[in-house]
Amino acid sequence: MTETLVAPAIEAPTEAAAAFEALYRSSRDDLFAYVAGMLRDRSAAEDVTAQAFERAYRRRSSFNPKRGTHRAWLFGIARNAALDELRRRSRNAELSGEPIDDDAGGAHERAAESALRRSVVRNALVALSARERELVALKYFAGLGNAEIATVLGISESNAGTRLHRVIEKLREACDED
Amino acid sequence: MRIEELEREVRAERPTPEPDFARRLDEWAGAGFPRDAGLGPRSVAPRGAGILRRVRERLTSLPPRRVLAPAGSVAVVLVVIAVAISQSGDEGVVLDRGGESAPTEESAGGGGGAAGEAEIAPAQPGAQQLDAPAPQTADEGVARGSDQRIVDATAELTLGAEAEDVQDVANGVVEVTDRHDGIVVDSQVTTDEDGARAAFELEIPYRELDATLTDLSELGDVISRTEASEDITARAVRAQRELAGVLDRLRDARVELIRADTREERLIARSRIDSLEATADALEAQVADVRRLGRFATVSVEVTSNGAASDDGGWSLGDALDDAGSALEAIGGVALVSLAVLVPLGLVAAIVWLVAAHLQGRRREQALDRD
Repeated sequence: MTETLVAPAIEAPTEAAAAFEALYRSSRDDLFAYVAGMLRDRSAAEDVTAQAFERAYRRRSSFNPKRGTHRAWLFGIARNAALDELRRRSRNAELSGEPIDDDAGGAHERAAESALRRSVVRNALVALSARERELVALKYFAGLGNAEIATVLGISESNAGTRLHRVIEKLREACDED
Repeated sequence: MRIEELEREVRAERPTPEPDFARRLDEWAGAGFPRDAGLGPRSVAPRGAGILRRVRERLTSLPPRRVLAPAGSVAVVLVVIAVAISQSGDEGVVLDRGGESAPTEESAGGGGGAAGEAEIAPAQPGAQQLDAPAPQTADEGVARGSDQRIVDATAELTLGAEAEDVQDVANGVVEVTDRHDGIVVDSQVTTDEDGARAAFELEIPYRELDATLTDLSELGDVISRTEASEDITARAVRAQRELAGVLDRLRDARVELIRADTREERLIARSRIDSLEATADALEAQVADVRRLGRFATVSVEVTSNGAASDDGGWSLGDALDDAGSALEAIGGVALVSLAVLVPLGLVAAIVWLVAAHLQGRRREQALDRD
């Protein structure tokens, strides 16, 4: 028996409601990972993730498949919400809140070499600019393809691929230097 | 470090939501993301948020087309209603006394009747003085001063009546014309299977115009009434001056004829006198014409039935077509005026919307550069 996670807006379950429920199920953790990677603030990321899902839910009927996939549409909404959060944060001159903890990778830190490598990568990630960090978050945290990334950022797919390649090269150089 | 290793390490840095947050988000999603309960971001329902802010949040959460379509529809309806109301104010009985300004036009604006007749009086001296014996000076007999103008007035009156009453109305038109010392210049009464019609061209003394129109209007249903007036004072003055000049030259020519010594001089003088006399005759005719125009107003009266003579006053297919044509004409007019208002407004709104969207996008992107 399947539990209904997202309540349909109208009494009878519609195709849009069912599609949104599937989207929510498949994207919840990815969306949080992307937003948290952008904001580097877990509390703010939770707020923005919730806000993005709520906005997407209310606008679900406006989704146009011709403009990209459901996930790209959802991440576009989340991106706007995250950028608004960044703007508010810069207006309020707030510093970045709690850093993202690293509990998830606890098992890997048991090995010293692995821990060292991870520390190097983490430092390299922190050194990235916000735009570069966003690309990494979309690709490796959220698992979006280049075409979806291009849709979210409003650029061409080849441009997205080029930018990603440059970021990875930059990360690799930073890691090799360390 | 190899690319594959790097990508693996980067993926390992992926943040994951806290189980408590994930659970609360699931519950909120299960409830349909209610705004007033459950997990909402701080910015969605801030403490003390006012009604305006909530409305704004509600509007911004809607897709643009869901806001723009109803807003556009409301704007269209409002404009169409406004245009229809403004246009309907211009319809009905046409009562236009156009032409150049004259005291008679201002006084006639309030309608006909005894009051209108009394108010027209100031213009009468000017008209009556044209009846005086042929003037010898340039301005004699025509308007003197701004309050004595000569006006060529015309009026058109369309009356509706039952087919069987058209003849009675036509008789009434003749009677009213006689009562006001007017002249029936032309009349025509027709009755056939299409109905009954009558058409008159009347010459009515100017001072009786309003009273006559009032009496004529009482003969049937007034479908339209149009009055117009043209100030012909300048025309009259010009004709009088030219006539006076020609008469002066004619007098001089006659003196020359008397003083002529030779036959040749007499022939020349005689020829000049003949030419001047012809010119004087033409100018006198012009002056007489202007006098007549100043004294009489031309009134066209049309009497029309609503249907066939044998009809019982019902509504025929022709009437339906006429009504449909009129309705379409009115709708087309309203639509055209509405478009003239809405198209520029829509363009401005679209430009504002595009600029606002562009600026918002730029501000958001700038947030990335500042972070």
